[in-house]
Amino acid sequence: MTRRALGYRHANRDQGGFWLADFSLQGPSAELAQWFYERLGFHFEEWSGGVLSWEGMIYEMALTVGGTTRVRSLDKLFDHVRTTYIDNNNVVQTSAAAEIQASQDRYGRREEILFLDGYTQQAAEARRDRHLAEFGWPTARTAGVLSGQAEQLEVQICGYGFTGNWRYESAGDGTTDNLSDWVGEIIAADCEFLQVGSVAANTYQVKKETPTPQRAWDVLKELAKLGDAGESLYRLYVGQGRRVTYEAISTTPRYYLRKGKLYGSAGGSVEVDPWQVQPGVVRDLDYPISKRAYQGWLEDERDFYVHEVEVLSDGSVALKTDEFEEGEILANQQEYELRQRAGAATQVLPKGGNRHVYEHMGIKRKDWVLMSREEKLAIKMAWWQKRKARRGGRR
Amino acid sequence: MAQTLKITDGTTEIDFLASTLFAVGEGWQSAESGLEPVWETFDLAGNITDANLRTAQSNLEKLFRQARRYIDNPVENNPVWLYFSSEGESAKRALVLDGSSRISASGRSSPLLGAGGTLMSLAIKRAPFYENTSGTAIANSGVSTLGGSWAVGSASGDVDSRISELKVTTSATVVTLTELWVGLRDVRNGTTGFISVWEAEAGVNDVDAADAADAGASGGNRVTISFATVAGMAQRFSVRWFDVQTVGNWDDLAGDYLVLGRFKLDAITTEVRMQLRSGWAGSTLGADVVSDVYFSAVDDNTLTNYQLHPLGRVSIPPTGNRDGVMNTNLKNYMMQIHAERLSGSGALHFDCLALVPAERLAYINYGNINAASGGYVGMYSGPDDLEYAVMNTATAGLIGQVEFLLENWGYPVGGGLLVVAAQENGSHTLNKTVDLAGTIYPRWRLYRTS
Repeated sequence: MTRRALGYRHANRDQGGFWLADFSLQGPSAELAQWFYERLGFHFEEWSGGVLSWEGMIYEMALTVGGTTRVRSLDKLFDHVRTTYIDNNNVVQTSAAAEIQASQDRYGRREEILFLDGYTQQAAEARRDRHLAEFGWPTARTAGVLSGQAEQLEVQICGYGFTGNWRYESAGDGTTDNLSDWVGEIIAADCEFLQVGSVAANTYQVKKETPTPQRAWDVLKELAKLGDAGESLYRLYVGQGRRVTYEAISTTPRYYLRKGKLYGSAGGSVEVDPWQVQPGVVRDLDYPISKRAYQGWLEDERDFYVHEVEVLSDGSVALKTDEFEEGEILANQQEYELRQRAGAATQVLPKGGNRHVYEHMGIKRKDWVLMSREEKLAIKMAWWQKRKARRGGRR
Repeated sequence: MAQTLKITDGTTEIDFLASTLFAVGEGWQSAESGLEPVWETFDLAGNITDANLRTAQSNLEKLFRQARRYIDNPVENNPVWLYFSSEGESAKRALVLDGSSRISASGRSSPLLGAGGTLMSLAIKRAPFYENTSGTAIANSGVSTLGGSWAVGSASGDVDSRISELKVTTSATVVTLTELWVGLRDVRNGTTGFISVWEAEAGVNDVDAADAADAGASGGNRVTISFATVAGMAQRFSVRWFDVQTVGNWDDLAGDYLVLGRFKLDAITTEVRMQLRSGWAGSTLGADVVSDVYFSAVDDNTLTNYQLHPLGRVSIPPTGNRDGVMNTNLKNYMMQIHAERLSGSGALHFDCLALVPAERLAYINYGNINAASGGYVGMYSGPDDLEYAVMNTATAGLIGQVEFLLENWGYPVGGGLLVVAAQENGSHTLNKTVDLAGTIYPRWRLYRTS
């Protein structure tokens, strides 16, 4: 379906691995409807250059026919429900689980715990059953009606890391153990779709329990944040074959950035295949400072750590760190492309935070935070134009 | 050969050089194509009765409709062609994608007709390239399924030829092959010095790695990685180009390749994680990670058989190949295998690396390639570059349920090198060969010169 997937793009994260992908399909409504009703939960693979470059599960689909959009989503699936409630005597109780086995056989088990207060057992179980009846299957839900919309199917695929949060952590037994052992036990017991891949030994001692119910992948992420006794940073991600890798983040540059292009080798002139780019350390060879970094965890002042890589349908790559926002990346890319076309003198939007942008444009921070990506991009471009005009085209 | 300018679906034909409806020469100039479809616009003058003009105009619209249907629906099998040949040029054609016509209002010419003649404006959208009207056969037999090479001859045309069909079947000893890689590269610096199979034992062993005799391995030897002292990720062996190519022609290696590894695990409890790394012998920076893959005999016990597995894609040299600077120094190019054992106590037995050109790559899975039972795999590329693959089985005949990938698929203009790798379901056996037979259509941007 390579030719038919319109606007295909994917994203990889350092914590999570294969993360999100999406595309849209157009065609006869009967065909789109078949996709919509039959392929939720299907396995999806992306291959590039003869190598598997991304894989996941079809997680959500939105079908628009006749201006009406319907959505089926695994995000709305809960086929194993129980309640934890405080009864009329102020005693904490837990009900037995109610589940739909047929739904689990097809889609997997996605758990939910309802937290209730002041319920009798009968009422709590009724509430549980009501929730299961509503969410036990990923039924189609009408999202909206907008006349004139073209018929199409939007498909969102999620990496299998998403399924890590389908169940609550249950592997802990209250004992103290090596952190890496508990990581492996949670994956084996509570992550139905995942397998233990490479779990680096980490003898940091942790107590294997979660006093309040927590979802399995959330627990794993917290464990990854603990690092180890040597203060190394760790990464937890799902890769090929749904295998989970837990390892210390390597500070050796994985990619080299030169004149805005990404290379896999220090002396390379062949750009990396964008579809195979992974999070990791990137060394910016254009950066004028080159010295050992004594603060922070990276080796060189030119290095930065990419937390997320998004590849767009045209093969362009957006590298995202904790600090960068997507709009800024797009603005820089757009400016770079405009300069290349015009052959003008270089002047790029400064990197870093956005405070100078929204303050200069008279926008309050609380409003800025709520804006969409497109709105932020438009404001940044307007800010840059004002700045350029104010400086008379000078740097 | 006389000039030709006509549009036809093989049944209905409209000749734009006929005396009754002809293209006005000064009204047409050939458009630049690039890689996008081209709109050719003509002015037609008609010395034709009104009834015949109406028929011709209706036939044009039918042909355009058929062209649009062909592009929109893969089920359609009747393309519409624009034939164009200059004086003395051999026949060639371009796929018609769309079109429109308009009766011009000029002088006495108008859609009302009745003037005893008319002017018509015609716009035809065609594919970017012309191609020969008949295909050229290509064939070779006895090509090894472990990196077998075939130096394909130069084809006419000034862009890659369309490979309309390539059929693959086995040629020696009955065995059904189900997975296939076929890659094509340009001649570039040459092909005689290219060696597709890099034996692991030809290189340098590292941690817990040692050569061992193995009749099931290519060359009779393998590298056994025992993980006896270090189970974690470590460098296991390196192979330099000068380990493989010991004579010269180092720069015949230049190109993009999919690297396949032929290896096996020796116990069904063993799981390994492997990295292919690419770099230079003598570099202090270390080799660059190309890929990171997992292999588990727990999940797939056929991994205890030798099999071919894609390990990653490399560009050689990574520095690029400008000005011939790297030509001789290419001998220092190196690939490494790093590995760690995740579970079990078994060893990894590594036979060799096989380089399949990735510039033009075809991959088939779940095929049925067996000459003895009439099985073959066919890869097809239509005039609109629609690609598909089928396989033939002895019992069911031709069926279309086969996984395929055709990437930048085409036959290089100046010829080049075709490399094959293939294996059975769950194992790769040495000394198997395939036969290849196909048809190519040379393509041209504007004029056909041969």
